[in-house]
Amino acid sequence: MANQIIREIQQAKSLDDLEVLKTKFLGKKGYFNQQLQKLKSVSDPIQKKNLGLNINNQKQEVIRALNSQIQAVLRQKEPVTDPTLPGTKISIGAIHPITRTINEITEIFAKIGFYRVSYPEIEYEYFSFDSLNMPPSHPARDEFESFTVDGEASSTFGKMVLSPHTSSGQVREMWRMKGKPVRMINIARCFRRNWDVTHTPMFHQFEGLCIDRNINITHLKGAINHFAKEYFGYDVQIRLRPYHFQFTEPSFEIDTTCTICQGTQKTKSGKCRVCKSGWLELGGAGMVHPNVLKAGKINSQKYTGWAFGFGVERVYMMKHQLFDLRKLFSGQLDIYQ
Amino acid sequence: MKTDAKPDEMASLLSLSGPSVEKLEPFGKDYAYDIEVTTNRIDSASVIGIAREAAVILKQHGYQAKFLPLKKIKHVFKAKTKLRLTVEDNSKLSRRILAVVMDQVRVDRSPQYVRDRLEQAGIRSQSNLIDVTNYVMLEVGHPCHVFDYDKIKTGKLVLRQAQDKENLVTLDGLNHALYKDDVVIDDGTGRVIDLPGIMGGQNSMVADDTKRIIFFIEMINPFIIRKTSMKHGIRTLAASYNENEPDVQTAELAFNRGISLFVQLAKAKIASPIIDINRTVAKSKLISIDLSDFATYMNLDISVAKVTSILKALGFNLKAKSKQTLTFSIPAYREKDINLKQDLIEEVARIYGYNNLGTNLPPFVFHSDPYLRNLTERFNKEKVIKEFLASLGFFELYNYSMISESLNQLFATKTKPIRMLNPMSQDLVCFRQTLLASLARAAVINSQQPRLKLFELAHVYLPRPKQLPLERPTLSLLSSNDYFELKGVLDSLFQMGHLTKLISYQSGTKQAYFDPKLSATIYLDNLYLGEIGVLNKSIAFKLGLKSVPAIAELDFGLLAKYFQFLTSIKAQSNQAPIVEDLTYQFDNKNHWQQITTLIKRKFKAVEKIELLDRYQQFYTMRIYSYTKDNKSILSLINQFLTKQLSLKIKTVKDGKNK
Repeated sequence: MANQIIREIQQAKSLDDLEVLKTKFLGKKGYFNQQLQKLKSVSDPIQKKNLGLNINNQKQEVIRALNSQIQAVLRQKEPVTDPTLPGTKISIGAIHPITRTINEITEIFAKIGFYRVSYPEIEYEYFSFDSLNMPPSHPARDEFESFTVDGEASSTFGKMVLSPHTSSGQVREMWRMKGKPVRMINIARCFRRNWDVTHTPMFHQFEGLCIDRNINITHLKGAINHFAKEYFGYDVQIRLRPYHFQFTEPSFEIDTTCTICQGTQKTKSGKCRVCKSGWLELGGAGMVHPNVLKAGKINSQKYTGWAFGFGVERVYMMKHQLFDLRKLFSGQLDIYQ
Repeated sequence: MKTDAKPDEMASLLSLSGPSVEKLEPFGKDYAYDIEVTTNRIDSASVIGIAREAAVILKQHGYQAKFLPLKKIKHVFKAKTKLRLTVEDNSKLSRRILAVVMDQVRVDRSPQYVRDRLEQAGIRSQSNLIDVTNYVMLEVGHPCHVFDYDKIKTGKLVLRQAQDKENLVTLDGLNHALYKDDVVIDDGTGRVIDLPGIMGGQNSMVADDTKRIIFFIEMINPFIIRKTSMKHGIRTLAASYNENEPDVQTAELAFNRGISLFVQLAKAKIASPIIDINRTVAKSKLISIDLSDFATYMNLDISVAKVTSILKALGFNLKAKSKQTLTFSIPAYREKDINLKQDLIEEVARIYGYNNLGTNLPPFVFHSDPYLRNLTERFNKEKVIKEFLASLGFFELYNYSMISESLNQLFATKTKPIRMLNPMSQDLVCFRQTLLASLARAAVINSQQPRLKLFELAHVYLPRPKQLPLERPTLSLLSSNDYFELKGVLDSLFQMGHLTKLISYQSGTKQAYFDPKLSATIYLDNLYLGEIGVLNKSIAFKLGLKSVPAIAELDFGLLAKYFQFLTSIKAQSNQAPIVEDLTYQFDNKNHWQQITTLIKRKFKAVEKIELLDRYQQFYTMRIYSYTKDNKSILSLINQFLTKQLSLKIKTVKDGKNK
């Protein structure tokens, strides 16, 4: 019987036929199950055992035959295809480089306990300037550098301006925390009157602010060192250069070793054209000026703090090449190609 | 300054502890340093200033370095005949004025070393008279001016504010209509001859035939200097110096140095008494500091001797000392810059070397702060939603927060937008009240792209009385595919955030930039969430869009508040639902939203209703329900819809049990 079944299987030409045969012989009510049912009526245990073994052996043979016929049919039917052809096109979009960079920055600082906040982009001049120790006569406040808007002025906080830096969030955060330790990262759109290949009137900054008892310059160095290494890579070094800002004292600018020439000033194609003497400017930082702490209602005898403000576009451009910053906000999709 | 340090060593050490050396370039046998001096350190914006700094910094790093100051010379008038010179400043516009007439001037080229040095500093060498003023400015750090005495004729210089309709042709030949705030010098007859501190007038400038000169230094309010210089677009080096308020002693040093050089290079003779109007009061400023303050800022125990030696080298003298407190006097050239003990800390820290201080992470603090928790959650959701949209084929854009008046008009809302008072471009004037304006503009820019899908997440700016505008985080989408595909995107977004049951749509929107025929207002938990629709055809036409895109805008704050990554997983019924289909004809009155809401309210057995198919105005719904004994409720629903809503039910097919 088994041989007859196997012949029948070997003659099948399609998978559908094989499926029918599989049910016919191996299904719940198929040939082999029927044979096994019949065993119930055999009373001699030895005869029963032998018959059972025999049926099972035949069944295994049939299963093997069925499987090999399936393979045979498949081999016959399958047309040959080039597996290296391109896949079916699925159109995907993209996340903007600034979003990606902001996410990276947020995560790097979250690791060392800094939380991200958000403060107004259209801001009163008190928070953008006065509270930051920048008197009305300060050049950065004039119409040539800062934007003003026609919003209703406040009797307490003055005119409405476009926040030219994320530092406008410093005193707001001090007020919000009411003397509790501050570990802020403020990331926001900022606006200044600059427009060329490396400047756009709108850009993004990230501001670090750390206020607590006994906070000193070494903590600033540590936090920025952490950022530089996490963001640019572990072989990057930082240096502090003396600088001047109204809202920090002492003030510095922070440089990293050039990400293109690794600080050697040499590239394969000659002298490095990206950096100044092996260093790239990251941005400004310093110890929070006592007048700013005072504006933030913080006792500068008890507490000290540091702050930095770096450009999101700036760190992006230091890490990746971007030939024209203006492209980022042009609405053109060619930045994705 | 004398030193054994090499130029590149000096450059890198200056950057670390003083002014930043941007570039060091060989210049013949010499080197040119390109140095950035910060605005507070105008005292170091000169050869003398840099030398004074460098000597301290190099010594600190083990080099030999000695600062060689200019010799202090006091010039006096000794000639027998004197030339008349009077200076009037009745409105006290200048804090110090120094002036002298010099005679028998010989105009010539300057000697080679002067010409070379000027050229190395990026200044073109002219006649020796003009070269002297530039040389003094670069060497000593104070601008100065030379007039042709004979061209002035009156021997009189009057400082005053300009009047309306006055003009001055500056020595570069440009004519400037003057503003009332400008400070000018006239020759006593009302003729304007100079914009002091910024640029001289053509009518009083020295030339090859000049015989007699007035050498002149004035010190106008730096704020006025900047304003005048910016308004007229005259950004001279002199203006940059004067804007940053050099001190009166430097002015005197420059004046005396200038006279010496005129004598030396142009054989000039002092021909009038020296005029010195000084309105400043010499005071000696003192600042006290505790030794512990250094430790607080630098995390370093530093000795009194170290602090004192660094500060002394920089010109700060220890005046008093008690246990922990040290009191220092401030040199004249640092008086404006040094006001606080923190300023002294900066001086010590930078010379000591920031590199020599340690590196530590700030101590960790735990913030139990519900505000931050919510904000952090919002940022996380922002991230996930952006990724979701990008994987559906949407490109993220960052557009400017401001749009042009004309674009604003097309996308006008009921409220007047916030406007820029000093825009840089007519494209950036009105603050967006909808991001859709920018997305529509981007659709125009990228119109060659097939199947364009864009999104932006940014603030819209909604004016409020007596406070800052509301900056509402907003998510906007644009798709050149059809309305229902975009609606499908939103529906899947809502599904992802487990919001489906809370979302409802109502036909029509309040905004005119949506096509009233195919648009809807979206509610989340009965709160206004946003809008979806097709762009108003006339706007699309005005923008020059060939096809009309579908657009949507959502209040992202509200969306994020309700959006949930996970919800509880409920036990599923073992029973299979009855699945039944029903087709009705849309009557332009009863919307899907109302019909399905009514059915669900009336028939509690109904679990969900899906749109199975639509053909013209015939919409087929598939109803999933769990009834007792698996009994069909289709005829009941049919009856209900016919009676209550007078809907035409076209066909009733038997649903398949799944």
